[in-house]
Amino acid sequence: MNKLLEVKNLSLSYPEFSLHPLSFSLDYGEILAVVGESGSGKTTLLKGLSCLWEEGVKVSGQVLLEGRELLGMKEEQRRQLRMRSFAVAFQNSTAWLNPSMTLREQLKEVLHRGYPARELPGRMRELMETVGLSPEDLGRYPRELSGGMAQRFLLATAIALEPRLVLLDEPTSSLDVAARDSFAALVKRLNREKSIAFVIITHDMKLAAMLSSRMMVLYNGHVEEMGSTAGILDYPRHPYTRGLINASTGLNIVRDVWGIRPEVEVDKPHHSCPFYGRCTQSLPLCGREAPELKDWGDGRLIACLRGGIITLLEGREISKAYGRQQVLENVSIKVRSGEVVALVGRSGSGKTTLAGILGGYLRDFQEGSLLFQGEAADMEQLHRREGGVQMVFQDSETALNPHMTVLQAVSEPRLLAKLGREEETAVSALVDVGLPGEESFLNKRIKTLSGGQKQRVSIARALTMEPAVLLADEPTSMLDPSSKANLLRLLKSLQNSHGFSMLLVTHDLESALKVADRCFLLKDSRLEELRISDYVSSSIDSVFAD
Amino acid sequence: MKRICLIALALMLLVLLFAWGVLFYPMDAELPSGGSLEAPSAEHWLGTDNLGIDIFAQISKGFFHSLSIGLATALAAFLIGGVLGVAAGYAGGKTDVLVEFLINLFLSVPQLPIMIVAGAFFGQSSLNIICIIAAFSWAPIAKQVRARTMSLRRSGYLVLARSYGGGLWYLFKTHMSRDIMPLLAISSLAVTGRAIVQESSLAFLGLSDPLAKSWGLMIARCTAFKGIYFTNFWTWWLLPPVLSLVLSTLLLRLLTRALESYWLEKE
Repeated sequence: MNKLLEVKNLSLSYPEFSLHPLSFSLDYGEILAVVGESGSGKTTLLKGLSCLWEEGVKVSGQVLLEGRELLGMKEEQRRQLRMRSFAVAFQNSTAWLNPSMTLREQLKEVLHRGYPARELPGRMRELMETVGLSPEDLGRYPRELSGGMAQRFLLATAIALEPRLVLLDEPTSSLDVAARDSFAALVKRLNREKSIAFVIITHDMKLAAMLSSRMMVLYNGHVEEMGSTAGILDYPRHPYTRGLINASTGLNIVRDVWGIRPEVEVDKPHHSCPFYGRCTQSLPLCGREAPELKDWGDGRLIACLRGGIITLLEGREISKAYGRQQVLENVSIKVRSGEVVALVGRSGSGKTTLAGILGGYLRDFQEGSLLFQGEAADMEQLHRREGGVQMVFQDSETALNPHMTVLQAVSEPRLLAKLGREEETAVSALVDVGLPGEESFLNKRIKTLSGGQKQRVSIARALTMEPAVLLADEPTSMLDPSSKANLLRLLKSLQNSHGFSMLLVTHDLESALKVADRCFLLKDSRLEELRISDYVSSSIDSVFAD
Repeated sequence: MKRICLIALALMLLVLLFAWGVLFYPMDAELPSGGSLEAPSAEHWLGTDNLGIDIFAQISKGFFHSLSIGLATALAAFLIGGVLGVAAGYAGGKTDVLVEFLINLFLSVPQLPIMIVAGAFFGQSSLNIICIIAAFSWAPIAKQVRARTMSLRRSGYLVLARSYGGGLWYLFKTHMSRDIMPLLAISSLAVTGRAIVQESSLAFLGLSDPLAKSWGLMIARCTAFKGIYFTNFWTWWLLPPVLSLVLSTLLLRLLTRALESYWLEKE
């Protein structure tokens, strides 16, 4: 079947920014969402597709619309195709309307290119009704329109000559939730009834989720991930995509939202992965080589040298019995890079046992295996090196030697593991967990600290080893509500800024659902993944509804 | 704390008294210095025995004999009980099974008969006595230390320190000694008191070094003296060694108890 749009190695370079060569195609009647943060190159892509770039931009590649190459075409020919074959509705809609012309005059200007004059009034009325505006509005000036109305009118002009393809740039960024939803419904209807294909440029993941069947994720001028929208939302495989989803308030109405961590200072050479520095699973290799967009199976295209988000720690078919009592039966669990996994279950369900096994502190389990980054895990080594596995034990009272000073306790791991820089890392870890790094505090005995402080010191001690996976067993069970909230936020923010993965073991289902990216329930010695969205949801649709 | 000081002070006075008895008391503990069975007087504070040897001089010398045997035994028990207890509690597994078996063995056999047999078998010397008493004193210490080590071993900081690569000596020094040493020291002090009584018992039965001045030997010689209870000789020959035995072991025991409760309170 012929494609409606085929883009081959399209690339635009400005002096300060360039959109790297990208290729994709679009079927008739398909909706593609292009998502990414501000400055990721979304609008540049749109300029390339619609051949509306400024002077001095270097453009290369091909854009084929129904088999005809647009980029090499003369502007006169392209003008013939504009509005008839493809149309663009730009961001910030009112700015694209002539403020001194009524809507009728503006619409007429477009329509007269395709319709004889006597059909114009009827066609105009029809268009206004299609986009949900009333024909009376035709007499108004743009300044008299609300943002939503202007957006709808712009869409009306875009579809006036019934093009096969409409490009929408941030169509809903200035709209409220209700207006966004009704605009999305309109786009869906136009797509269904008139089989118009859309390319929607947006940073609103919720809009992309509502409308598109496929999604393209752009970052800094590179395509990071591309695939079916449902698949990507369900299981994002590029760290950046996951970051975008976690940062979306629309997709996480109830849960806490966290942006992707700002770039940590790394020496970033020219040829490196664009996401290097913000990524949670960078290898030295990622700083030297830029990844290609590749198909890593099931039709998902990912630009990552590691093949997308990797699984850091995996327990496979673990069984454990204490005497006759079976505690774990064929339990498999994966902790991927840069995520918070919650392990919940009622008291006594074997959570701590499973955490002990996964952390490598409980060696005598009957069956199963542990893998770290896909290879059989040598837990002894992983405890002693940076980027390994560390655990914060449940009982902070016995997790620290009460006679030691804070500094002795926190610098102990690196001292024993012979990693060096003990004191320096200890102090910075203490500061990270919100404790003072001053001499007087460092020389305090552990037994003089409060429960909450001990818990933080325990966490700081684990952090000094810069773990890739941190297991926290009931870190909040002894704390009062306010300290609990503080500690949960602290853990999540540390996870976000340091980029480690966390397995949070808790009986506190409420807290788990608040901070976890994925959640597992341990029940009757079996493990079951809970879909957090099935349990945490809220309906806010009615708030702004008319 | 105040009680500990008081008891320690009493013990110190006892030691000073007997030290004076050995160093400055003019009478000899080995040779006769008066008539047979003289009553206490300014010259012979506690009188003399049937051979005319001064009783106070004998008791003073006996005190240091008993105390040194007690302390040597305690040291041996401290070392054996400490090492085996920590090893069993920390290593677990086969070591633990073996040590626990030994502990139970030594706790369950009747001590005195075995001691008598062993004492008779190995001959009469102070070193043998120390070895025999120590062999029956380490077991309770090891049992306590083992239990303590096991509970420490499971505590988070030890598990973690081990995971970071801490060796056994480091773990003991940094994380266990503070909890185990007081326990060891107190139990060993208790052993000192018991060892003194046991040594006296063995001496009484004639299984100790016959040449050494020992309270048990004095009691044995006194009770063996025909017709001792028909006269009042026993009041200065028998009572002083018995009372010093009771007093010194009582003080040691009280000190142990006071230290124990002080430590428990501090925990």
